[in-house]
Amino acid sequence: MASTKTRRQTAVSRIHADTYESVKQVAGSTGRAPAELLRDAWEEYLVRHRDEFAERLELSARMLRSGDTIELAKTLAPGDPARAAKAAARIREAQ
Amino acid sequence: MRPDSLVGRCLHRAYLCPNWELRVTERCRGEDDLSKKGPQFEDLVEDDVVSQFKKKLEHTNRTSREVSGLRSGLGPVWVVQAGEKRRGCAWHDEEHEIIWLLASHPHESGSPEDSWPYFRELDAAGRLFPTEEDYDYFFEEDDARFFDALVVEADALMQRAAAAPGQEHRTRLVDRIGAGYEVTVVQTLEERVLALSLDDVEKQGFEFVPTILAAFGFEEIPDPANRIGNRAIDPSTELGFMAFLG
Repeated sequence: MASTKTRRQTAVSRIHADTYESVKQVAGSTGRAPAELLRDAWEEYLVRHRDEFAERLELSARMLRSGDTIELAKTLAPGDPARAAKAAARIREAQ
Repeated sequence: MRPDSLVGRCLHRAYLCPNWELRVTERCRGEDDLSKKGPQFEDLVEDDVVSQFKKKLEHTNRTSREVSGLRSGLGPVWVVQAGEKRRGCAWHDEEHEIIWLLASHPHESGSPEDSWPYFRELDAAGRLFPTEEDYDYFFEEDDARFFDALVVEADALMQRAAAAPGQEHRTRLVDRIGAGYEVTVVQTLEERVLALSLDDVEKQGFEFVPTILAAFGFEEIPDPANRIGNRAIDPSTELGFMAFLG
């Protein structure tokens, strides 16, 4: 379960890092506050990813309406496909 | 991941307890004598063995008796007693925080059809413990827990807001994202305002915002909001969204 959290945060930080770095470069030269940096990162994310944002909203609304959170997770936060095989292998080794 | 809002619920193939979840192996579900069948944990809970499994192992990870004579070195397997005529057996997978119901069988002391030889035969054949298929289901459900909890907690917040419109209602979604929500009804129009902590959203990832909005019933990109309840939304620390629904 810890691995799930780590993986999600890694995926998240990858997207965020692109945006955040570019904002930081601009803000560094203007001496602005961290809160402003975050706000700018959000604004920039919206501009750069507006189509993706709209698609995710539509997809999420459809899947949440149908109660299909498992498919939603597979689409938005896919896990390591080798995890189940590793867990089963540990059991086979002990048998 | 077991968000507090999901504890005490049957969810997909699991029942979520405070410290672990209860699951039934696919082999047990398909081959053994469960009186109820179905893919969800909820489908099985009226079976006597599953009912006892849920009752006895929700708050403790052991029962009073261990199944003896098993060869596998995976730790104790516990007897789940359902009346005089049936037995189940359960194993705590501590690494994944799951207690598995491994098997269920009619019980008649001394009979060749007794449950103990059945459990031992399954063990000897390498068929007693969970398989890759079982873990596949577990991991895909575990990945979905954030979204399951988000739906439950957004619904709860929306219900609170509907019961007391015109004021902000606050929560911390999935123990991660500070959120405020307000509904105002004007004739046939319903104005919905959602405020999210910018810092929390950034930590979770901006790409999760559309799903959070969807959980609150927004189906198109909402307009920005600058007020919620009787306060202004601080644009340096919060994201505000609003939409009118007819």
